[in-house]
Amino acid sequence: MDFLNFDFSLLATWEVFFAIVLGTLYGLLIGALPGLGSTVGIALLLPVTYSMSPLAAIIMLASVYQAGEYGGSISSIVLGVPGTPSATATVLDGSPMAKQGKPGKALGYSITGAAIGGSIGAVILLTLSIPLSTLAISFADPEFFLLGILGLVCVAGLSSKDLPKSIISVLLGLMLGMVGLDVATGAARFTYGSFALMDGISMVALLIGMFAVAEVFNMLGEDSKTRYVTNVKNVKTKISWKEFKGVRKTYLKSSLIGAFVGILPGLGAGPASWFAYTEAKRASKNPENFGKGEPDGIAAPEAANNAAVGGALVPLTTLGIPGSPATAVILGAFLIHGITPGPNIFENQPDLVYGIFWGFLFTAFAMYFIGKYTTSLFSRMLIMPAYMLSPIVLFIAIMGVYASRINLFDVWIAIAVGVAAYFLKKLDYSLPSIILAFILGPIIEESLRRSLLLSGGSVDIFFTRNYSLMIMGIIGLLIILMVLQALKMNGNKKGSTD
Amino acid sequence: MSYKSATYLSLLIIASFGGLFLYTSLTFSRGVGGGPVGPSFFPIIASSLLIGMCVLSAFSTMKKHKEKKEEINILNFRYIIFTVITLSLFIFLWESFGYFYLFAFVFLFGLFFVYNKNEILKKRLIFAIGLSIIMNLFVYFVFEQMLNVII
Repeated sequence: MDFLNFDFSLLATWEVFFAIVLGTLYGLLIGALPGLGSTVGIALLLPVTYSMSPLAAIIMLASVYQAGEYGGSISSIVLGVPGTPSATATVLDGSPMAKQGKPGKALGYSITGAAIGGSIGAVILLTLSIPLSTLAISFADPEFFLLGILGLVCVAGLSSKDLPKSIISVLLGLMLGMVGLDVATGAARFTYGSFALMDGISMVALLIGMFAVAEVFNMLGEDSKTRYVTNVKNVKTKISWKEFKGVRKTYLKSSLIGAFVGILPGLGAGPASWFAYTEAKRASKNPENFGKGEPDGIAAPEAANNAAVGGALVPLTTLGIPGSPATAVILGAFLIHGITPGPNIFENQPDLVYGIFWGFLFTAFAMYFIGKYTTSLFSRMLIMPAYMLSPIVLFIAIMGVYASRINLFDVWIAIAVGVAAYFLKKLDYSLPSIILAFILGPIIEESLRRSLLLSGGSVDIFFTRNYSLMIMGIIGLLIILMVLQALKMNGNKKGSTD
Repeated sequence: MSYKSATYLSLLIIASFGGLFLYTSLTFSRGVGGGPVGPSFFPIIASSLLIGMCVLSAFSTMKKHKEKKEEINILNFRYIIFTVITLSLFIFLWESFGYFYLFAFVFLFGLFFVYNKNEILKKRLIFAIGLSIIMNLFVYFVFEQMLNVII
């Protein structure tokens, strides 16, 4: 309980206060601009931290990370374009709710979830960082492979409209993820002589193409005078107490899922949000409402992806292992200030590490209050008619793709993917499945190859480890539950037609 | 085009894509340095499964849509074509000649003007010019100045 002995006067300084406020505002903007994301935001702000104290510097970067994860949902909800990869799940229900004329409510569910998830992530960081770091290092390649498979099963099962097409979408995503240089051998795969493809297909280009470019084409199909919000009252970012009570269990469960997944290096907020979304849909009394503006469909991914931020700081601080690209940049900040994170930091610099943890908790509250009053400005964009909104969305999205790697080839990819995605969506293929498979594919392949290398080619490695068996059990159970749910829905459909 | 025909066409294209990947994967090395699984392992499995699933989906589509005739509606198709052409032209000109702000202004002006079918001509022109300038300024201040993106 050392964290309770912390001297709070270390946090009660103007430097820390401005670090939290500026980091939060900057993170919100960076997250809301499609294609940029927390990693870019943290990297751009890193030089600014040179002159700051270590505590204020790390807290500011953690604020950017936290606010950036929520900021991604602003673009997801208002524009239907995920601002960050982890906000993709939020598009599924956030965008439909916004288009029903309730963007403020959607943002309200989102920011409340983000604050709760961030707070629970911070509490876990404060209280359980050491035992959880022990758990994190117990997970090795076999477990990561199976967690990746679990992620694919989750997302393939989400699209219950056409299961074969959902599986095809997963396989397409896996194949797109294989383009580029093979990590283990350096062999060029599916590059067909193109230097631009040696680095693989840009995830930002894929994301923006699928959701922004394709979404603009959808908007063109509507009356150009369409305004998604006609009542200005509906842009206020808030939910009522009754609405909060309706989703509070989802907030809690999803936060715990997000924090746990965030602890595991390499997974991060993206898969965390999808695991939480899948679980929320599975446990819901009205799973058929998901994808149509269901509040739990916003609450779950938002709570999870912000809790994952706290989770990601666990291996970073306790083991010195960055769990995500964003935490890798934060590790750089630690090193710049002469601090080596790892097991000894709790003995050598307890004030610093607990100051960071407490400061992280305060950033969740700051994000709630700052976000509540600033995000309604974003949702006012939906008052614009479609003929104004479509070019704005398209232009900002294209700039976001370009800005991510300063590479125009990525923009061409986004255009091609956008055209393809527009038609794929019309034919009931699952775009979220493609994205998540694209993200998880490299993790799955690398961890499988390393596992088999360690075991000399034997698959026994997956059956002799307790955590692997546990994850396989979860996968099996999930498949059974999905099949039962599908049979139940088919039975209900037949019953209603009789 | 009917939903069924469009689905068959999409499955054919995706299966061809899978076939190309499978063919290319067979040229990769099987295992390097004694490793049991090489760079060809996953692509071969994924592309084989993809081709198999495309065939399965084709049968599933045939069964499911036997009685109903659904049509795929692509509303305002000419606007989509216009957008793709102007966007591609903008990116091509920017890539070839630079002058980002000039080409961006023309691109945005084209979109704002064409999409706005509803106002009188003078109003459409003013809106299109004004909004194009505002968007260019937004990119300049946010991306170039604040985020140091080299445009």
